[in-house]
Amino acid sequence: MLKVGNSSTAEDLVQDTFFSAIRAKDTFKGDSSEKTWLVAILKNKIIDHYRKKDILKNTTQYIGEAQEDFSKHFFDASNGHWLRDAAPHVWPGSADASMNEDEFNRTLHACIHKMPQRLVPVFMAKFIDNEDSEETCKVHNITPSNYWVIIHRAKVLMRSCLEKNWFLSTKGK
Amino acid sequence: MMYLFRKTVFDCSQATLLSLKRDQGQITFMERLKLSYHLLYCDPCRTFIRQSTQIDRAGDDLKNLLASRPPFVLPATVRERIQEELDKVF
Repeated sequence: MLKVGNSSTAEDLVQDTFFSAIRAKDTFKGDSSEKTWLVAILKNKIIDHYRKKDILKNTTQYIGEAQEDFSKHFFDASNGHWLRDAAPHVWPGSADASMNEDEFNRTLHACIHKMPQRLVPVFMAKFIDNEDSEETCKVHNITPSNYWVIIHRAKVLMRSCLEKNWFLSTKGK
Repeated sequence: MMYLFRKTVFDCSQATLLSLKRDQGQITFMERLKLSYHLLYCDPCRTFIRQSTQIDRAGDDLKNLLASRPPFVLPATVRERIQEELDKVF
């Protein structure tokens, strides 16, 4: 559900997975468990969902168009330095311990939801699935240079969101 | 030349992107030099890198947490609906 942003889409994809699995049951050889097989189908369904929603289309164009909007919030256009308000602040020493709390995970989820949709699939592939860059580029059909721009933007946004809503807010202390 | 040097070596946006390439072992020799030089004098970028690693760890923790919990079960109404849809077709 974290990957597609809402529960009804997630439910539809699960339903689709069962449909596909039943139709393709003759091709299931039993080399792996049913669960592994179903999860693999579901992963493909999620990629298909991104494609249908055009989340993976015209990536280069998207990156170019969103460049200014992203940069102006974080970096000084004249020299590439952090803007004063956007520069990372040092987090309190208790930061690591506070990250084990359930409340922190809710903030983490909220920050993923706030991220531009176009960044989420690639970011999540690294963040949650620990997929390497080559694999993600292949699956999502993007160039390595676009991959790094997406990973970078997502990380800058994520860090800033967590700082504002957790580490330097009253919740994280 | 000097302009280009300043432009690439002093750019925090570029430096933080390079740090993410380094995390995944995808950084070239020249990029590594640029990054190391940048980090000699740039505190905010060093902070960014430290926090970026902390966030990655939070991702690992979340993954472990999801794996350790009992599998997520859809609400009964949703399961019934899916069952009905399947019954219609098969």
